[in-house]
Amino acid sequence: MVDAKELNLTDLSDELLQPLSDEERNTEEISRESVSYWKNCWRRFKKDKLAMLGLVVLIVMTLFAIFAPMLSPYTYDQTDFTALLQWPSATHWFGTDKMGRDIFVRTMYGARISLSIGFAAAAINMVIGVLYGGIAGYLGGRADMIMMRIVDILTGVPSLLYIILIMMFLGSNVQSILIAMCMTYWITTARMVRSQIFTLRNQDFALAAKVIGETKWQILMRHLIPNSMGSIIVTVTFLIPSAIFQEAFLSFLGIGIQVPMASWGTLANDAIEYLFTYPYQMLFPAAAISITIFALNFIGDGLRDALDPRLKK
Amino acid sequence: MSNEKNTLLEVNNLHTSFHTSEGVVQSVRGITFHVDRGESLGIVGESGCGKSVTMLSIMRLLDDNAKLEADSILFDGEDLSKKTKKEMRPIQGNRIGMIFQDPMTSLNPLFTVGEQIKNPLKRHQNLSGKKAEEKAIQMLERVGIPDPAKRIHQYPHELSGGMRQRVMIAIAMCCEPELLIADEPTTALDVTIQAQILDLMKNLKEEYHSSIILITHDLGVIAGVCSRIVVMYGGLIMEEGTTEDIFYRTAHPYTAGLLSSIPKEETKQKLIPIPGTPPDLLNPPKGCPFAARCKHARKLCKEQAPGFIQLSEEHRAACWLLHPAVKQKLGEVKIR
Amino acid sequence: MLKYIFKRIIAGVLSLFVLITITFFLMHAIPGGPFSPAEQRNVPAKVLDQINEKYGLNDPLIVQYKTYLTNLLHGDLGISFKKQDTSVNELIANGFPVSAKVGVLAIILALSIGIPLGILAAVKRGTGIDGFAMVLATIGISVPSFVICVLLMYLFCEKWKILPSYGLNSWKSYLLPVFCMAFSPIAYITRLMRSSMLEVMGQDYIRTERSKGVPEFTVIGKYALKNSILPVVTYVGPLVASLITGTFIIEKLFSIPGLGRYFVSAIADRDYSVTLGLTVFLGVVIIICNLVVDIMYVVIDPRVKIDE
Repeated sequence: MVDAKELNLTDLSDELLQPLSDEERNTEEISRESVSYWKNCWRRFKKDKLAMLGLVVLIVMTLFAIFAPMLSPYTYDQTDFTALLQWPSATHWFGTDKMGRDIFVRTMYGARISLSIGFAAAAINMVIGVLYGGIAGYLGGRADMIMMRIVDILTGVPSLLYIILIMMFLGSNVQSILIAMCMTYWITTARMVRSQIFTLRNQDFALAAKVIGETKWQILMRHLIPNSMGSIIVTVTFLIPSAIFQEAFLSFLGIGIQVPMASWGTLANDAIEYLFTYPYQMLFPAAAISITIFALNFIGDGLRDALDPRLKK
Repeated sequence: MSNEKNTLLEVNNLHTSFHTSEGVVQSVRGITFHVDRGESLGIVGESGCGKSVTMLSIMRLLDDNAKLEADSILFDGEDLSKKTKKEMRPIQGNRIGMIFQDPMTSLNPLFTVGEQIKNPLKRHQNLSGKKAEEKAIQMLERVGIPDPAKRIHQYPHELSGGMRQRVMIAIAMCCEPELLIADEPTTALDVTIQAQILDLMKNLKEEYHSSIILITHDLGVIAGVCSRIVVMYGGLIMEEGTTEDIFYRTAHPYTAGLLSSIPKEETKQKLIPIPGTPPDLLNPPKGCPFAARCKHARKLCKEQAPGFIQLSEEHRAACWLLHPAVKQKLGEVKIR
Repeated sequence: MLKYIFKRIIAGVLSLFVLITITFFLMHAIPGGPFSPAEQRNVPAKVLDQINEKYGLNDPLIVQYKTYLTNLLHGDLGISFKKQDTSVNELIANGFPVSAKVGVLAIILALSIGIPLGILAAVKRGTGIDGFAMVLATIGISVPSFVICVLLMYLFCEKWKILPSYGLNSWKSYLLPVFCMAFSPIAYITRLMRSSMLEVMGQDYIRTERSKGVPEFTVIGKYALKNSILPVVTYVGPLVASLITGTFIIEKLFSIPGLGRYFVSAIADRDYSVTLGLTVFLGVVIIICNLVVDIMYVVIDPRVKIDE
């Protein structure tokens, strides 16, 4: 069978036969630094190349959205009737539209509007969704059933109806689009949080908190919601692109942001009539939306894998 | 060395490691053991010592991120470590059956019990649907499930934990395998059910002349079933011997530690836990893996891993205290 | 089972009633009416009043609401305010088959690409195939449908002139609308299928299946598939409802005479009866689709209890 490794007996000094001291024992155990959950997540996230690319693209896009309109010689609504419908050139990087407005500045200005709508909508909806879903999930029973039926009905109401209604009353601007989105966007988050809370509230740590006499509200806020934070963040990351999408869609239909203001949807809508003659007008805003949402989705995927490593292994 | 003809499974120098985002985890770091025909071998150790990984390596059921290296894994003369996944299939579930720890998660919730037993029967024994059903009912009856003709159409969630583990045993044994690997088969069950399940396994083993590898962290479970025991720690074998060797001629301090942490009713002796936690297999220690927790450890133990000392034909242990040169200087160290 | 379906239908009718009520009053809350002066400048006020009288628009809102509900109970969705002599029932009868044809084709396309692609990506996790499928799927959910429509229209109808850009006259004219409609569902289904397949593949029972010597193809294609298909079923239910009732952008861009086109224009025109009629119709379709999803759940997963 297996032979004992031959030990050179001259090596066997008395020193080697001294009992191990406590410090010597412990050196092995601290070999792996203990890292906090969030630090660990960030480390995993950094390893995801697509997600990091997405983050870089998003940061660049945000910087452009902030600074490009300031630095450009043109403004978003400045018309120039000597330079109508120009193809992209050194003076007008993305060309001009039928009113001679610079499409580069308009696209970057559109980034401001689209990105702020995306982030604001996601933030507001996260708060509403987490609270609604958390309460429904924690209360359970009859309260949960009623709250969920309300949600079901709300999803059934054609969204265009109340969006148009809000636009009528408040005018077609960024605020009304935000309010319109806050009507139903939180539902996804609420449903997700509810199902998370449902599984978490019967787990041992929640029961333990109950045993030591914490109130329902404390358990919800201190234990259940923090424990579902990973899934919440991921859902919200995917809310940002869908809000940008929705705004683009509304503006594309002509009921969102109004010309001469510019969002990516408005620009695309404007470009439709010149699609076959001046396709570049469609190209830039369409590319801007697609690239941004692309980046956001990769960030979302990366976050999901980083926050919940079980899904990735 | 045991008689060649009698050896069913021979694992030689098995290494298994996993690539993870943290680095390479060396779960099994070179182990060698064998199982004779008709024998019951127990493998004991704490969680994470590499027991289950060893079994999954033999069955070639490791995930894609695992790397298996072995001089050989001879099963009835065939080297399993050299086989492709496809070549393994006539062996899996047919000549080697496997039972897993948690009967709650080991059965597919969306298929009937019957479907899950019938499928290896159809595959390995070429039984027709009707024949397979008859055999499946027979098998369920054999493992002690009442009203098997009805149970066969039920889903796993309609059965209790003990019942499900019986179903798992029926699945693993239905093709009368030469080797049954049971990975903590009783850990998730009530104590009263545990004994029944162990008895059932013993009886089936006798009936089919199979060998058993029983993996557990519970020495008490092993004592009743196994004739030989392998003690693992930190991906290595610490001690190997007959059940009597391990219990009454304990040679390794780790085995001694395990034994003194079993509750004994009659003596009302105080339980003595082993302090500390198992080593980090991302950076395994270069010396004896148990050195950091061993109350007899010397500086030598940390410096260099001990080799095996053969204590009798069947009994061997890897500990410096047993080495003749060390013994000469320190004398006999009493480890219990 | 029958009792359950009956209960669900009752619940469906109830929520439909709430939906109609909300929509009705929302609709009327939007300023302007179908025959408001702003839209019909050259019509004298007196004529306008007569028209309003004819359609019952001068009655108090609550009376209009009652009349609408009574008619609805008789299966009458009213007459379009804008398209003279066209009943809403006719509108649906004409438009729905067109929308449904395109929608069903799109769903078939989405499922037959999305499911296999998602499974393939999960099985080949971490390889080039997985990366390719995921990038493709992310493009699918990142590019708005109007962008992909417009892009494909430009390429196929204008640049290469190989496909018609409007109508549904030949099989060729189905290609673009169906593909554009299926574009983002393909991506969603691929992603859903992949992640749920990955989760199922890590389960103990799949290892049990392998330990029985079942070939990988059967393990994935039969055992893991059944467990991992549920999220896709959940997603596809409402999707079917929205696709077979037509998609506004696609029907508008490709000039398809389906239902989707009417919806936005009806709201914009304050065509009360058409808006309400379409909402009711859509609501019914959604309720049916959700019911079918729940029944499929019970069929697929024996642990789901229908009386819950």
